[in-house]
Amino acid sequence: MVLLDTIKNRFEYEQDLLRADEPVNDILFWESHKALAISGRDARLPHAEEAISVVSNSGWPVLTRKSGGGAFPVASGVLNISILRNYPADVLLNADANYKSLANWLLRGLKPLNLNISVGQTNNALCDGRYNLMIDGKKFIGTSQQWHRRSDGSSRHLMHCAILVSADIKELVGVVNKFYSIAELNQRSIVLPHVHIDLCEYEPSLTIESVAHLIAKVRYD
Amino acid sequence: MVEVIIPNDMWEEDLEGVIVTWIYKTGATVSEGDVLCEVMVEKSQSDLLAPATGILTIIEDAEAIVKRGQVIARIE
Repeated sequence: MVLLDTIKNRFEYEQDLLRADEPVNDILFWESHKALAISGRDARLPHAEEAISVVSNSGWPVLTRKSGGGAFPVASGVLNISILRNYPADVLLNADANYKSLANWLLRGLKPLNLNISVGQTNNALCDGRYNLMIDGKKFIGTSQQWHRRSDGSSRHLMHCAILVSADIKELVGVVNKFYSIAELNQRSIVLPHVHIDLCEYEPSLTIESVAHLIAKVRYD
Repeated sequence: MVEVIIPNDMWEEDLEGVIVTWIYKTGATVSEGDVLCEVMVEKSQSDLLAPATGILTIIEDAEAIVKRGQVIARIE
């Protein structure tokens, strides 16, 4: 478990690993200081420059990431997991299959907590997608991925998930709404805090470290 | 002439993706295996490689909505 000095270092490190000559197969558990990670598309929104300036000046450094999805905030209380894999040329790049593998791994890791966890979409959630993990219908894990194809036909794959363990959800939601309210001409949808949940609301003794250990006990296939 | 196509195996269902960015512009000389553009679907971003060496003509610009099997560029 590493508390990084900046998330910029983390994203640069991941991109370096994806593009390294030697293939990397690794799982990284990490936590970061406050930052807002936006996609390349977000960075091209009509008023993105102004939004980045306002959000940065409010104590949330903004940086662009390569994996897919909308803006997501990282901060203390959010456990991030990055999974790096190398695939030979004859393996199909199937995003859905990998999301299902990731979800299954997380479900097996969190099984001892005996929670009512499901996989699916969460309307009005942070960085929504079809492969969120939810407790009683409330999102607590978001997932994304990136494929880097190499000229020899092989692929490097990065999966990322962010787990709300003991985060300030209202603050996380607030910074994302602030970014889009400035960056977009017409804000698409408002993120709502009450559609999210921290793991600690179910089990207050949980910490970033204990959740990481729980998941790391289970083999990722 | 070789078409640059969104692979049919890139995602399972009949979803739509988006071209995030083109690395090269129309008229650029590209080599087989170069990363031409980045495509995103379902929070999954993928590189698309040049299937041949030649001059690139982009058909679908960045931000275009694309489907599996769609031709997005040509290389001549």
